[in-house]
Amino acid sequence: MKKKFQIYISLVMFILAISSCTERIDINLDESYVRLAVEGYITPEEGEQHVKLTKTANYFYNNPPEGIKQAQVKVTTGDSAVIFVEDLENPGYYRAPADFRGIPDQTYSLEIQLKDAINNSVYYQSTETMPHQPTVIDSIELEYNAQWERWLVHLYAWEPPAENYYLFNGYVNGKMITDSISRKSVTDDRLYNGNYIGGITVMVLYKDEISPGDTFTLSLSNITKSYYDFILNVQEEIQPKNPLFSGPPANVISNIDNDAVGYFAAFSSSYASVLVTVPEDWK
Amino acid sequence: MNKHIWITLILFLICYTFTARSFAENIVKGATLSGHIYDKENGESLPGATVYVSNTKSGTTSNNYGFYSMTLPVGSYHVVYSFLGYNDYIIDIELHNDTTLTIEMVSTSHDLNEVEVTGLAKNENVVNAQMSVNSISAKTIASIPSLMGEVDLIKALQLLPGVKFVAEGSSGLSVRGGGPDQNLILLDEATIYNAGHLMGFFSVFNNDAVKSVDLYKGDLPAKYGGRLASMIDVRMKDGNTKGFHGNGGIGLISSRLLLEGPIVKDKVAFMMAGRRSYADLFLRLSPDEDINSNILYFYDLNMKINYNINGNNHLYLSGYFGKDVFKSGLFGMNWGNATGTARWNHIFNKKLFSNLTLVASRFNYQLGVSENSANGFDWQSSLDDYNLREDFQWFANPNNLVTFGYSVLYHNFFPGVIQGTNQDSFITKYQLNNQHALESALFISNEQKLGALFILKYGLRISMFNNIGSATNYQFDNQGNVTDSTSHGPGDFYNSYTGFEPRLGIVFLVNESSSVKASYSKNHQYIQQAQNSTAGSPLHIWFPSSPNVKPQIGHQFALGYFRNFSENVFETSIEVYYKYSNSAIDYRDHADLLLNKYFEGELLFGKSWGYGAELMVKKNSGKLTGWLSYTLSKSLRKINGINDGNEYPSPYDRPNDISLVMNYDLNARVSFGFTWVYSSGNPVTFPVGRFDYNNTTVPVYSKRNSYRMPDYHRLDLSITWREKYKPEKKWHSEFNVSVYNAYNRKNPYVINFQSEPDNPNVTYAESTYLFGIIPSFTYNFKF
Repeated sequence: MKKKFQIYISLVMFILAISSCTERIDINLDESYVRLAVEGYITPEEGEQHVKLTKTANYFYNNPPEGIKQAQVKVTTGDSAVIFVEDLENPGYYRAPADFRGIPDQTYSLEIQLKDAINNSVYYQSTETMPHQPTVIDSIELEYNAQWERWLVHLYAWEPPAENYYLFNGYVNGKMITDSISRKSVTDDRLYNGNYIGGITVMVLYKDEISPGDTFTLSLSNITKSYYDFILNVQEEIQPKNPLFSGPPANVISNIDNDAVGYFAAFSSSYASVLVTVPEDWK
Repeated sequence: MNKHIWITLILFLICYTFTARSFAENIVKGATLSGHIYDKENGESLPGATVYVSNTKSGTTSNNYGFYSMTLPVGSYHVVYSFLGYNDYIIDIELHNDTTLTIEMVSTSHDLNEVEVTGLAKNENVVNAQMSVNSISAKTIASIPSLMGEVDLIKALQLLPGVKFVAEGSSGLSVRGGGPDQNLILLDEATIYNAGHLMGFFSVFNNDAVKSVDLYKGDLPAKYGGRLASMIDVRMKDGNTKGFHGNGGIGLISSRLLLEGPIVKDKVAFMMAGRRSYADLFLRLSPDEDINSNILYFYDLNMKINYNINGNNHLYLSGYFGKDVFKSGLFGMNWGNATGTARWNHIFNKKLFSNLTLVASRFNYQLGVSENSANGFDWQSSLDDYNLREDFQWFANPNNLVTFGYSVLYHNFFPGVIQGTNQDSFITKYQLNNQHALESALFISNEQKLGALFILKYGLRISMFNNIGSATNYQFDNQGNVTDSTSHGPGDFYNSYTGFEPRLGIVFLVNESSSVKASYSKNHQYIQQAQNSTAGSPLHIWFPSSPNVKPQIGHQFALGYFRNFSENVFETSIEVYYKYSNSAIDYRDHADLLLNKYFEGELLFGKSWGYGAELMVKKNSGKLTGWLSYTLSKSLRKINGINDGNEYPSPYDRPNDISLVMNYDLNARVSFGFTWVYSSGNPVTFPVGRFDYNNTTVPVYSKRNSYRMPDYHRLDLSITWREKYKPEKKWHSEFNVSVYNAYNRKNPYVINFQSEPDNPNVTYAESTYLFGIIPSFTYNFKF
């Protein structure tokens, strides 16, 4: 749904653009206290489970975030616990042992113990349940729109009757090209629930991101409602605001305690690939 | 509980009637002087004209339909009828029996031609029992420099003390810190739910068709209610009963034409006015196919017929239809208001005037992609109102004017349905729950003169609100998640609220040119708009009070000092107010208000309050006319779940606000308009920190509304040339040039914080401003 509405908003923005102008300005912003920022993933796939710990910075800090070293990171599920090992080459990264795999419907607890307190806390905790097995993709289709100079990714799948939240990522020749929040697409199933999805556009990509001959892969991940809200809210906060439509800015809710920011996510994915052919109106 | 209320009310009415009657009978051998007051030239009734009896130093004013009534002891009197902009009408009368006198007053100016207003201003603002009220004439509105030449009533109201625009160019108003949905906007008594055209940059009111505008800030007359912040009472012209005339104009954005005239002379008259914009004609000039295929326009139609059946019965039928249409490729959307009003004035006897009103009003919008494929969809939403209202004015005696009546208003909410337009559509039909509600009221008020020094105004409005089935109601937990639902069958009155709304006021007349006024009023608001953006889009969703949503209840206390100088040439006033509500509504962070069945779960409730001082200096006559207003105010909220439960400035909290509006008539043919506005910036929330998540810089925000946008200020200028006035000529024309934002101030519309696309670690602030300097011209004519 959000997609359709975005089309409408962009048209309105076009009207505003006729008479509006933008310019960069200098603004003095207060400094804020430092918080812990967490980015963690548990998936059934090899090499993807990691937790990244950084510190928040002032808004105009304009440098890469500072990674937090020498923390202890533990993930427990049921009776078993695994220690995530610090990656000494990438400060702030803690990686799962090579044989660790996330399992759908399992609940995972993240425990973090810092060497030095941030915001008066050394101990942080979070819990997330990995949703059930992902919805199976029937097939995908790539359409090239010459007018917009964009690739549209269409999805075909049976949407199960349960309440589902989806995250879509795109890969070209195995490399993720949607590797930032603004590039990801998420949707709920409010308008499709229990129906056969006959080719909705789930992703729009730039012309130069895909070339004929490439293999394009779409991943569909079933995510929790709170992770869906997190991604949606981050997208909302990093997009330009417009007084006609935007609500007041608000912090994105985290699932980590003690005033930390970020998200500890757990999800599984299904995949479908197509070989990219030369479209009719390709220039 | 309800039965108790009705009994109380009936007793109150009976007691009241008897006491008032005995008052009336105390006057020895009284006779009533009554009638209507009209403009001699066009037959328009003149509401608010004063009737002054100089021997007894008593007086009255004509009501909304130009009717007046005064009961005096038998004797001879010197009566002066006066109205701003008109020559006084003076008559000596021997009053032995009840007498009907229809007065036709002569305007001192010929609008487009002779500009100097010689009629003396009266001290109406000093002696009026109603405080916190402002009136603007259509002529004043037309003299204010405008954006792109579109004369705009709403923009004129935004220049009054205590009134602020909600965002640049917006048709939304914040009155005394209230939200835009807390204003009751009436056009010939029909509620206008969306007063904006073209994203709100222009209002739906075609000024040509407007006769008068009154703005009541918080202290509504008892016969109106249902909103906390204000009532904007717009009345259309009745139509010329004397001769066929027309006027119109050609502007940059739109053209307009009004025709009016008698169908039966002095008995039946009509008025028709139309306006259509043609912005899309300019889009078509663009070589870019993406742009020139777009359609974008709005239109308005105002129509009115008034039929003076006989001296005691008068019928008015009026209608308004307005629409915005936007199409770009296969995507299209349109929205608009349509209203119809039928009114019947009936004079039972010389002292009892009644008006029966029937209103149907509709606001709807539709958008969709008209493609006959899986991508096609259609989204519709509407709100229908049906209102029956009757009010009586009883001119009991010179010291008491009693108003009473009832109103029954049925709302039909159809918040939205979205569905595919094709069988292959991947969109399952999604329908929001329809709701039905009845909003009724009984009201009575009296305006009583106590000796020569005091005027009292006291009234009570008893309102009642019923939710009616069929409906589905959801129950929510503290996080706003649905826990359960309840269904109600058709016609089931499943939820009710009752409100006692006293309206009190007192005027102490210090002398003829100064007074002190105080007032208290309580209002209940039962329907509101689901919108958490400041400026507001046309996709309005109005929703009623319900088991989950308590009515908003507002209290307002005001105190004012009114003083006129130089024989009422200068009007000055200072008013202070304090208002609060313990049932304010705001929304959860990241609220999902669009097409969400469970949006009631996104609501949060708490307190709001505000206070302020409003100063105004106004010059009504002479070559230079206009006003200066200054408002110092505060508007705050405290809502559980927002800003950690701490108080925060409301989105419309702008402490300092100045408007200087001037019109200077150089001579009969040339006049200048000048408007300067200054206002503190809107409160905003800015990022104070950031973190990195998945190669994305995510902001961490300050406390809610703890920053302010830069101050807003703007100067608008205009010059009007009129053709030389020749009485024998039928066609008169004028040419107007306006400059909006004359010194090209870049007032930020929004400030956004963004990351560099190629390096998310580098962030910057970017200001967007809408209107630089914008010149425009308009050609107006009259025949």
